[in-house]
Parts: sequence; structure tokens; C-alpha cells
Amino acid sequence: MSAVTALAWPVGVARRSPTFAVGAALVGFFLMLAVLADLIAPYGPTQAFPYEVLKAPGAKFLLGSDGNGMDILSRVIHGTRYAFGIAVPAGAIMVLLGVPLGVLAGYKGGVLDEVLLRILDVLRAFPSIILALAVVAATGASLVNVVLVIGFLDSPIFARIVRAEVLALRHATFVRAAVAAGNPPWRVMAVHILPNAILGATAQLPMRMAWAVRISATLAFIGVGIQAPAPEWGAMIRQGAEFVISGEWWVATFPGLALMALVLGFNLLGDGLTDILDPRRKATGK
Amino acid sequence: MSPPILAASELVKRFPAGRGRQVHAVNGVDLEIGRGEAVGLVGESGSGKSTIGMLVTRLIPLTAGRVCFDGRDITALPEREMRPLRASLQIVFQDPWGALNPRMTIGKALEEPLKLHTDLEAGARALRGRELAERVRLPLASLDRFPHELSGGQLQRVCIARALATRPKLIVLDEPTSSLDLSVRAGILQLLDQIRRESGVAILFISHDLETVELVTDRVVVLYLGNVVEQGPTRKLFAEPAHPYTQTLLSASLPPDPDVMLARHTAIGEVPSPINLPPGCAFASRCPAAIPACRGARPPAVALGGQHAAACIRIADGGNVLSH
Amino acid sequence: MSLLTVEDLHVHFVTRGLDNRVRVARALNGVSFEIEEGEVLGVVGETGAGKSLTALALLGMLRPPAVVAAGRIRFEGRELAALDSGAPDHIRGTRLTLIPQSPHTSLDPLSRIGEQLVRMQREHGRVSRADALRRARGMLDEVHIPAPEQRLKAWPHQLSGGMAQRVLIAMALINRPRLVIADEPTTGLDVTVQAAVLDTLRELVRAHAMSALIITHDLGIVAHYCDRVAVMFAGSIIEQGPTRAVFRGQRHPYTRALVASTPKRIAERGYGQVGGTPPDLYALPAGCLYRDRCAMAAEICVTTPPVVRFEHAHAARCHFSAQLPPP
Repeated sequence: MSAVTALAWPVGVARRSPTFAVGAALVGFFLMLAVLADLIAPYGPTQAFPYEVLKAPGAKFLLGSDGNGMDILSRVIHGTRYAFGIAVPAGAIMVLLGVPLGVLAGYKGGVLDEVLLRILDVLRAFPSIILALAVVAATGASLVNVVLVIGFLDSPIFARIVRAEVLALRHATFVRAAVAAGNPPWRVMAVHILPNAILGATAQLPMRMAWAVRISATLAFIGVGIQAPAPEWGAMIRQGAEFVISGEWWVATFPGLALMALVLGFNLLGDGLTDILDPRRKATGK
Repeated sequence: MSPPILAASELVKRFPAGRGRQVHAVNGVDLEIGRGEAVGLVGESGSGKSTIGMLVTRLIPLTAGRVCFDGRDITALPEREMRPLRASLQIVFQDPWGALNPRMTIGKALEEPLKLHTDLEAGARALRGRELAERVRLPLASLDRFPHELSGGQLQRVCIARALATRPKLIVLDEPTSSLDLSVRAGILQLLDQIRRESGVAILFISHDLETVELVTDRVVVLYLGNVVEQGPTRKLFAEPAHPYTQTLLSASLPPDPDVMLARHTAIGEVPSPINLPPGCAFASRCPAAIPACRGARPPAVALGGQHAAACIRIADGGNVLSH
Repeated sequence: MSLLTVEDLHVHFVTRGLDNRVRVARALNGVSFEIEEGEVLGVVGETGAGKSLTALALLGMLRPPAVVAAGRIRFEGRELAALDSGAPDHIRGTRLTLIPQSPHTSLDPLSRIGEQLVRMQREHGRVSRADALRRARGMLDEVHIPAPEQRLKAWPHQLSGGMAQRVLIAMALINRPRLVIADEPTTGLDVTVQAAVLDTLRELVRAHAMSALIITHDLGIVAHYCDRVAVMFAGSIIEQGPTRAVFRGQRHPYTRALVASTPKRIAERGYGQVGGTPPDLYALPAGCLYRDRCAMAAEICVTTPPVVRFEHAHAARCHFSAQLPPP
């Protein structure tokens, strides 16, 4: 593919969905920061300069320094690793648990479906943040625990989305044809239903990942999740909250902006994906 | 004479219609298909023809009745035991675009029945897949394509090839050409003709298109509101339709020839609801030849010679023949 | 002067894919035909031939990405625009109307039948509600809907397919148009109902000395309900003429192939050469649009075939029209 045609694709996609393009750019930017953190960040994430505490943004500390004399820019950059380190594995758990659950519930119905629906009812009624708080407080605030809690909490929601797709697919002619050909139920679900249901659910994944990032930051902010000196944005905001009143606004603001930008990016990405994958996008008439 | 490949008796299917009511889709239908025979199932909407196709292939459960396939009673067979039989009992659907998994290549779709019912390994399966594609005159390049890249006619050929993969004894075709363009239909019919001659497979051809049925079948069963009103050898039935409904149906078709004079029999009014079926003959409310006795009991089938029979009490007095 | 004249209509669809490349589908390629007063023209073709598109152009209902590349439409002597300009022109809906396909998706499910018929009249002219209702009832009678008084109050979902189609006919004819376009008027209807609906349409068209354009893929409908027929392929009319003349002696290989593919003909003469893939409107061949499928294609076919005229205003676009043996 020549350079010209290679460039054509991003342009074409951006035209189809500017939302997707912006979202992808944001997420891509932060992802790059996460990957290249060690190279890009001017200082280490927990490298402290005890005599330069709470310095305003300037030449030495581009985004200022915090209450421990650590460079905020470096910490924000390294914080992307926590953000993705939570969003990606949590997302993986969501998919690995939620998709089979959704397919089984949607296709077989019965007891499994009822149980799933009741779990969803409970989750909807109960603020998920409180649930997360309770579990993490009980089990301890480690990265692994946070990832697991978020992943498990979100799986039923993901399962519901998949279930909705499956309910529609159940009546598709090709599914009937698969049964007529002699496919056992597991094969109908695995080969015919699942690949087609996933498409609709895919657009939701970035949204759930956005939620994962937000929840982990919230937990850290409350004091239940990842704690300082780890450069997790929520923890940084918690730290910086003390200093807002005394005028050192940069300590909380920059991690806050980063958090907002990444969550926005994920949401736009998901929104844009829905646009692109929408089968009615074919504008050719007859 | 060998036993029929399919023998269905007293088929009944009712669907719930909300508020305790029921749709009487199929009301006591007997259907037999001999080995290698092509039987047409003809009717308009509400006749139950597609439902019967689903019943004999056990894709929907029966409300009542019996289905015997290849000498074996499959009416209440658990799905686990039904599955291996499906290698011999295949179905082709009306909508070729919807009948194939959009995320599966054509080649994989053709190999799937082989995967399910044979011990062939990957290489042998692929070979047979190519053979099947050639048999239905599909370019080999299609095997690597996805359904959305093929035309309707090509997709239907794929569906037919898929049905042939396990050398079935009976193929049910539910309106296989209704969604296709005119020039494409003929190709599919020609393919079916060829396949029948080569393999001797029996077919149940479900259609509302009388001319196609006349061309393709040996025997025809005419349905109205879930009842068999007439059946017989194709040529005889089309030449001497005995039941008033069959006569009405045949007279309503429009031959593509302006020089043919149309001689229409008009049925009175509209089709009654399958939820509240009147007693007696299902066609009585619209039949120009109806008499009060028609609304009494369901008319029995009257033999007309040569395996032709029609369920009309007016055959006895000759009143079944409609005039213009 | 003809009631309707369409001259060399070219319509393209211009779209941009995900790869940012512009693609042009040549949907109508030089469509030309005329309809006289009191005449019924049948437009026959397969999927993608451009029949519905032609109707949309006549009704001024084409919208982007459709682009009119060339051509003119004249109705009752006045020029019509094929693209939707948004402005009412007091012709469509009154003098030139449409009977659409699929009755149950073309009727407003949230309005009673009587209301929709009244609306049809009041949107296109000044008429009192009482008069409009009276005419609505009369119209339902004309299309042979039993118990018209009660039916005025009925909801669309309460009607059967055949009755809903009759209501659509009533709606199209209530303003007494000069030309009515029927787009696949019997698709989805049972055979017995189809016959009755078409009979009603013909009866009314004759009674009110209207012209009609019937779009269909069914040769039987054309044979028995149309005075003249135009056969379309790949957005172009490849043959047109009086129905009898065209059915008796087809002058284009595609028309022959169509007629030969009906079950009756197959029963008489066998299958012969059948089928062919639909034309790709994004990549039409130069010269004759049918040449990729044509048994008679020769070198000369890379040039645009001329219109060859026969008697009785029967014409075909083929280099070999005159030399075709009798069918």
C-alpha cells in the first residue's frame, strides 16, 4: 500500500465519524505516553526533590511539583500506566466473563437468564461505587484487587448488552439453518451466535473501559483504591485536594485534566465505533 | 414398492396468539413423499405451507400428529438423536441473504455439514467443498468470500450446495426462488432439475408460484388455511383441478402472454382469520359453489382416480366445477 | 404532445467509502420514454435496473447522494425537476401521484384511514372537511372496499394486505391525477388478491381517462394490464413498444432471455442458456451495457448500440436487433 492510500484510510474513517477520530486520537495519545513513559518523562514517577515542594509550573517542573516534591508531569505520564493497567485487564475480564454469560443467557434463557437479570436489577439499584468500595475495603487496595472488582462488577452489564444482541440473532434464518444442519447447541452458540453478537457489543467496550478508569480513580480519591506514592491519578487528585484552597491549584488540576481527557477519549471512541459499525451507513441507493 | 422417505399424518400446529387465543396454522394434514419424488406444497399466505416445512424437519415442535422419516418415527425424537438424521434431511430457505452466517466464508459454510456428520479431515473436507461448488456452478474464488460479497442467485446456489454436502435423501425447499430475480430463478430451477436427475434425491417444494411448481414437481398438494384441499399428479391436477379453490387459484395466475385470454374465478370476500376458523370446509365462506352442507363437517377426500383426490362434497353432484 | 416525456435521464450516486475514495454508481443511463393520454405503460426490469429510481425521479423525490447528471422531464408541457427541492409544486400529489409498495409501511399507522384520505385532499387544495370526507367515502367505494363508512374509521393495522393496497390506490386517485405511478402494486399480495386489485386499478384508470405507469418485475402483469412496455436493464431502457408486439417478437437479447426464463417457456423449450450476474453499477462496460451477459456479443458491442426502430413505435437498443431470428 503506498503512502497515499495508507493515508486515505484515516481520512476516510475521520470523515465517516469525526467522533471516532477524536476519541482514537486521545486514547492513542495517552497509550503512547504509557508505552514510552520511561523515555518521555523528565523524572521518575516517585523521584522526590524534598527542597522543591509545591513549586508552581515552570522551567524545572513543567506542570509543577506536589507536596512531596515530585514532578507532576512525570507522575501524570506514568499514571497512564495505571489507567491502562486497570482498564485493559478489567476490560478483558468483562469480555471473558460477560460474553459467554450473555450468549448463554440470551440463547438458552431459563434459570441462567433469570439469575442474570436479577443480578442486573440489584446492580442497577445499588450505586456501584458503594459496592466497589465495600469489596475493596474488605479485600485490600492492591492493583489486582481493583482490577478484579471492576472487571467482575462490569461483567453483568456487558453480558446484558451481548444478551440483547443474542435475543435478536436467535431468530435469524442462518441460526435456524445451523440447527437444521445438525449443529449441537454449543456449536450454534460458539460458531454462529457469538461472532455476530460480539460486533454490536464491541462498541460498548471502550465505554466500559472509560468507566473502569473513572471508578478506579474514584476509589483512589476516596482513599480506598490505589494509594500514594503510586502515580495513580485519583490518588494524585486526593493529594492535591488539600492544596487547592491554599492556592497550589496545579497539584490536583493536571491529573484531573488527564483523567477527564482519557475518559472522554474512550467514550468518544465507543460512540464513534457505533457510527462506523452501523450497517445502515451504506448510503448507496438503488 | 419401497416405503416413502417421508410420511406425515394428522399434522396439527397451533400457535398462541395472545389473550388465550390460538392461530390454527395446520389442521390435520397428511403428507407423503416417495423416494426420489418431487412433491409440491402450494398455497397462499395462511395456508400453513411453510409451517409444514418446519414441522417435517422438526425445526418447530408439533402440536399433534406423526412424522416418519426414512421409516423411523421422528415425532418425539430427542434432539440429540435427531441431529445425525439431519445429514439426510436438509432444508433450503427462502432468504438466501439471511440463511448464511455473515461471518463465515462460503468455503467454511460448505464444509460445516461435513464437519458435523463425517470423519473427513480438513484436506478432504476442503476438496469436497470445491467439488460441491463446482457442482452448483459457483466460481471457486467464491469459497474465500463472505456472503455479503455474493449475489442472491449465487447465495442460493451455496445454500443448495450446503444441503447436498451430506448426500441427503430429502431436501425441503421453502420458496427457494421467490426472493430472486426472474433471470436468476431459471438458473436455480435448472440446477435443481440436474441434481434430481443425478442423485435421485426427493424434494418437497414449497411455493405460492403455480407455474414454477408445475414445472418442477411430480405431485402437488394444495393447501388452504391449514387443510389439504386437493392433491394429485402435477399434470393431472393442473389440467383438471377438481376443488373450487384450486380452480380459483389456477385461474388467478397471470401467464406472461398477452394473447392468452384470462378466465378468472373470483373468490368472494377475504380470507377468514386462522384464529377463528369456521366449522366445515375451510373454503366455504368464499366458495362460489358452496351449499349449506359445506359448513357442517370437514369434507372427506374424494378419490378421483390416478392418485388424484380432492376434499369437496360437491364433486358428487358435479357442482364443484366453477363456471365463468 | 405527450402527457409525459422523459428525455435522456442520467442519474448517478456519488458516495465516499471508508477508504476515502469517491465511488460513482451509474444508476440511470439515458432513460427516454413517453406516455400518452389514457395509456398504461409497464416498466419491467430486475433488481437494480432502475425502475423505482425512475419513478422517484418523476416524482421529484431524488435526494443526495443522487445526482442528476443529465436529462429532462416534461409533464403536461412543463419542466419537472428530478431532485427534491423541498418546495411544493402543486403537481405531485394532485396531477401526478404514486401508489407505493408495501401498504403496511406506506400508511401512517397512527392515523385512521378516513383521516389520511382527508389529509391527502386538504394538503393539495382548498376543500372543506365535510366535502373531503364525502369524497373519501366515495373513493373507498370506487376501489370496492366493502362497508366504506365503517372503514373510514379503521386503523391501517386492521386492514388485510389487499385492502390496504386498495386504500393506497384510493389515496393516489382521490385528487383525480392525470398520471398515476404504481410501484410494484401487488408485491406481497396473494395471487387471488393480486388479480382483484389490478382489475380495480385498471377499471378506475379507464373510468377517469387517466394514464398509468406500472412498475413491476412480473411479466404476467405487463402482459395483461399494460398497453405498452419498457424493458430496463442497468439503468437504461433496452426495448420498448406495444405489449403485444414486444411479447410476440422480442428485439433485444435481454428481453428474449427474460421471456425465455418463465416456467411456461422452460416447460415448452427447455432451459437453454439462463442466468447471469446482476450488472455492477459501479463498473458498467463501455458501449452496450448488456454485453457482458449477452450470447450474441461481438466486437461491435463496445460501441453504444443505436436505437433500432420497428413498426408500431417498437424500438430496441441492440446492434443486432434487425438480424435476430423470430423467437
